[in-house]
Amino acid sequence: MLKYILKRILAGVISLVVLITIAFFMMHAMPGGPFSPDEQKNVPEVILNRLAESYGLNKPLWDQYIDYWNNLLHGDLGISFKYPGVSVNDKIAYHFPISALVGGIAVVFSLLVGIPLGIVAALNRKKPADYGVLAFATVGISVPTFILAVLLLLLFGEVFRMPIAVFHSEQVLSYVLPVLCLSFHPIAYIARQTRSSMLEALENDYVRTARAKGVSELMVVSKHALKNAMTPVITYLGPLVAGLLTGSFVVESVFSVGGIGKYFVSSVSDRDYTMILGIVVFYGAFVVVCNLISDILLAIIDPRVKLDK
Amino acid sequence: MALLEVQNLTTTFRIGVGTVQAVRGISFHVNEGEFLGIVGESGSGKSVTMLSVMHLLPDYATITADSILFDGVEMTELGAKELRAMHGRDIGMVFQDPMTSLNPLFTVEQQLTEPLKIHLGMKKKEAREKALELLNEVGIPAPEERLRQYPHELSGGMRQRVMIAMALSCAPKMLIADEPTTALDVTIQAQILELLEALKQKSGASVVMITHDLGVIASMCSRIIVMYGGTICEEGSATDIFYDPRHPYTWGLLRSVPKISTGEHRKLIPIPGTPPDMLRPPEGCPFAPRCRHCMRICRTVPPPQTDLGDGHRVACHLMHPCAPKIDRE
Repeated sequence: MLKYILKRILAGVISLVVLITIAFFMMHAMPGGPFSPDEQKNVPEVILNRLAESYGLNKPLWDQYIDYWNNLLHGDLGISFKYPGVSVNDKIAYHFPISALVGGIAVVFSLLVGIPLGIVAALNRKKPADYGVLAFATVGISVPTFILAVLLLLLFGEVFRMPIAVFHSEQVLSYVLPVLCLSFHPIAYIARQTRSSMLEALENDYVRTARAKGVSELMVVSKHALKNAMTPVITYLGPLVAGLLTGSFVVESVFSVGGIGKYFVSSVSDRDYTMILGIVVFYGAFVVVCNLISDILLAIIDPRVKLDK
Repeated sequence: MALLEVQNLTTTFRIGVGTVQAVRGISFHVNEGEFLGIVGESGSGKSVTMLSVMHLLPDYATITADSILFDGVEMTELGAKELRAMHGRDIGMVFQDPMTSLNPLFTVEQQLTEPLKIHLGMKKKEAREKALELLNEVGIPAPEERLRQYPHELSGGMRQRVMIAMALSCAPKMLIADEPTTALDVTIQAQILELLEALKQKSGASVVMITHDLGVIASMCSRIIVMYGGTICEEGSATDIFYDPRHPYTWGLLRSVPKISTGEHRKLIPIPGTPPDMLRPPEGCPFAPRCRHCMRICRTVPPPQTDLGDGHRVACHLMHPCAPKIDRE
C-alpha cells in the first residue's frame, strides 16, 4: 500500500513536471506578452522595457524556465504581473478556500441527491419515476453551465426575488445558486451511473443468494447491491472533487463568487505568466492527489482491486 | 410424510417478444428427510420450479399455484415478510456458481453470519463462534483465517463449501441445491457431493438436488423427478428411473450418459433435435418432436400421468393400454 502510494506520487510529480514545462513554453510561444508595446499603447517603451527587465522577461527563455523552477522548488510561485506586489501564493491562498467551500458543498450535495435518485430509478425500472430521473439526467448532462446559470438567475432573481447580485461568504443564501449550478451536471451523471450500476448489481447471483438467506429487501439494496454499485461512482469522484473544489470560471463569474475559478481564464487574457503557471501547478497537483485518494478509496471498498499491480 | 407439497405450479416470464412458459402446471412433493433429484436438460424448468417455490424470481416472472404447502404452511398465502422469514431458516439454498453467488465485497464472516443474525438473533461474537463451527463442519481448514477472507481469495470448492455452510447455518428443514457441482471440476464435485450426503445424514433435512447430470444423482438420490419442457415426464424411485424407466425421454437421457468403463471407443449417443421453444410450447407432449415413438395423438394431446404404483408415474401416451408395446432400446 505505502509502496503504491509513493509510486503514484512519483508518477504524479513526473506528470506535473511535464505539465509545467508544456504550459511554460506554450505560454511564451503565444504572440505578445504582458509588457509588449502592441498591447500597452499608453506606456512609453522605455518603461515597458524596464518593467520587463524587473520581471526577468528580457532573459533568454531557458534561463526564465530555470528561474521559475528554482522559485517553485522553494515554494514560491512568483509575483503576479497583473496585480503588482501580490504574490501568486497569496492570491491562491486567499481565493481557493472560497472556491473549495462552494465546491465542497456542491460535491456533498451531488452525492446526496445523485445516488438516491439513481437508486430510486433502478428500483422503479421502466416506471414513471425511472423515466423522470432519466429525463432529468439527460437534460442535466447536456445543458451547458452558462445557460443553466442564467436560467437560475432568472428564476431565483425574478420569480423568487432572492438577493442574488452579491455573494457574501458568510450568508447561507448566497451559496444556494452557485452550489445548485455546480452540482447540476454531477447530479445528473451520478444518478445515471448509479442507476445503471445498480441495475447491473441487482441482476447478480449474490443478490439472489442474499434474498435466499432471508435478507430484507432494504438491506439487499442498501448493503449487498449498493456497495457493488458504488465503485464506478467512486472512480468518478476523484476528477469531480478536483474539478468542483478548484472552482468554475462560469459559475464564479455569473454569481460573483470571489473564488479562484475566474483566474483560470482571466490570467491567460491578462498575460499574467506567474498566475497562469501557478494555477496550472496548483490544479495539476490537486487532480493528482484527488485521483490517488479515489483509487485508494476504491481499493478499500473492493478488495479485488490490487493497488500494487 | 410430505414436507413440501406443490399443486399445479405454473411459472411464466414476460419478455419482449412474448411469454415464456417455463413451468407448466406441475405437481410434486418432497418427503421429509429424503434426497430428491430433479433432472432435465437446460430450459426444462427444473431450476425455475424450485426458485418459484422460493419466490426468488425476478419481477417479470408470474408464479401461480393451487397450493404450495411447506411443513403445514400454505406458502401461496404468505406475504413477502413471512416468506423472507422462511428463507434461510426453513429452506436453505445452494446455487450453481459459487464464483458469482457470494458477494465479492464482503468477507466470508460477514456473509456467513448474516442469516444467523437475521433468523436466530445472534450477536456478532456468538455468530462468529457459530460460523467457525459451521466452517469446520463443511471441512474448511483454518476457519479462523477463512472468516477474514473475501470470496475471491478462496478456491471454487471452498466457496461452494462456504455456500453450503451458509445454507445450513440455521438448520433448515429443506436444502435446495441448484446444480451445486456444475461449475466445479470433477474431483471437487465428488467432494462436494460427499459433503452434502454426510450433512444430510447428520441433519436429517430433506435435500432437493437439481442437476442435468444423472451420474450425480445416481449414487445419492432416493427419488428422482425427470422434467422436460416445463412438465414432469417421469417420477419414481431411483431404482425405477435407472432400472425400469418408461418415458422415451428418460431412455434417451440414460443412453446419453457417457460410459468409460466398457473400455471400447464408443460415440456419445445424443437425443436428436432441440428442446421445445417455450414461447410457443407444443400442444401435445413437449417431447413429441424428438421422440422416436411419437404417435399422432402425441402431437395434439398432452399425455396424462399414469401411475404405475409405488410412486412411479409417467406422462406418456405409450402407457395407454391400447398403445403399441415398445421395449426400452
